[in-house]
Amino acid sequence: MTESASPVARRDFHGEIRRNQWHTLVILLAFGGLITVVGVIVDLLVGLGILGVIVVLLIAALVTVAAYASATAVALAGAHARPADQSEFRRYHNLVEGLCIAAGLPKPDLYVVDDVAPNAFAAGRSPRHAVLVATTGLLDELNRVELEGVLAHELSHVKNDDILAATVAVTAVGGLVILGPVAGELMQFAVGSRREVLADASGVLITRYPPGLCAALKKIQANPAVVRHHRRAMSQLWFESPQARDDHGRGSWLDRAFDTHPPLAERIRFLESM
Amino acid sequence: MVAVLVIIVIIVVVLLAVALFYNGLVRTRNRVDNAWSQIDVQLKRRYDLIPNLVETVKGYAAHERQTLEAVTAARTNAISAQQTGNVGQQAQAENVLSGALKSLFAVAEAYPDLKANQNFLQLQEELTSTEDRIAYARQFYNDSVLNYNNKIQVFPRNLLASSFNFEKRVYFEGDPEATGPVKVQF
Repeated sequence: MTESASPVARRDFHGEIRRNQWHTLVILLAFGGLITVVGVIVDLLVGLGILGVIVVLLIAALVTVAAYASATAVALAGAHARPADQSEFRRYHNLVEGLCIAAGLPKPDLYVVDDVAPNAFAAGRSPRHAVLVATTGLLDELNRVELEGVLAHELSHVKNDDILAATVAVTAVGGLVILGPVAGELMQFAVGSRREVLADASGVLITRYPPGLCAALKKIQANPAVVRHHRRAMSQLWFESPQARDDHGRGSWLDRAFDTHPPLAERIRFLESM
Repeated sequence: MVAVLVIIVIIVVVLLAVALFYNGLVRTRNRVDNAWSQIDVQLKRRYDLIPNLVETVKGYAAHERQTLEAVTAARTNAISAQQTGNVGQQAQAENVLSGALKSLFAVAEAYPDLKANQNFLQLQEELTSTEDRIAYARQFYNDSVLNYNNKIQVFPRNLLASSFNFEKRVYFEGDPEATGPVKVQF
């Protein structure tokens, strides 16, 4: 009985949710703190004194609140997502509605990205303000059972309440990218390395069918396409990290510093052991 | 004086705990009821889709009368079984309906024009996803029952549950015959 043998068996959802909320706060404070520090330095150089400090604090607070409030919209825009039409993407809507019944969740707003690379993500501040994004490649290429597995994985991010930290990280950590590897560390802290495996496991708890998600992971592994529009500070959101794929080509050490995903092979092995 | 204060504090704490436990139990029980009504919502959705499906298939395969009639009859049976409120009877009628639909879709395989019909494809997608939803709604109901039964049986909530008449709920169980092949009369 080793600790790593079963990362999910001893999970404590409420503990996990509290951890996520706490980490979100730390990220936002770091973001606001950095703006304040830069502002105060500028203030000292220019010599505006105490009035300048007050202005800096106000600006830092405003920008931090804006980073929090706009996070979902920024993630959607960054991925070039558009709302999924009810009749054009009937199967997508139907599958999500069914899974929401099983999970006891309100139906999130659905979006698509016109991209052949099969991928998806969930974002938002809470289960009531959540969005689900899938690429057209994912919707076209996977069969019903496989697609259901992936969508259940994304919905369990919503249910586990870990979309907040990952979404806020898009704007807050995105704004800290100038810090380089330190921002990467911050991303690891925000998202945690267990996020994906936990969502795989709790997604399967919704569908009660591990082979569906397993087959989807294998299909995605075999597909070499990478989503066209992604940013370093957004890789934590995607179902499969666009960063890891770049390793063969453009991937840099900085990309890897931001990558919070375990390798696909590891996730497949974990599902096969269930 | 101190003793009186201590007693008052204890009483307040106990009352607060009882109120909290009670509210929690009511919420959990309401969720079970809601989960049960979700199943009915999805079943009704299926009943509503079937007449459209029958009409569409009729246009292409009018001489498959028996199959079409079997579906219509199974639907009528299922609706009246739902109204009786007998869970076992309802489960059986629903199983017959699922079987009849399956044979209708099997028959449709022989008609390429029908299979290419946009309306038919849409109905097929809707019915498949409704079947999924029925299964998921039952799963959610059972999860809710498990959660509720656990709550009312563990100490100290069980003391409260029994004095306020919170009764154990039963799981929705699939018809044991349903695991075997479904018989459809023609």
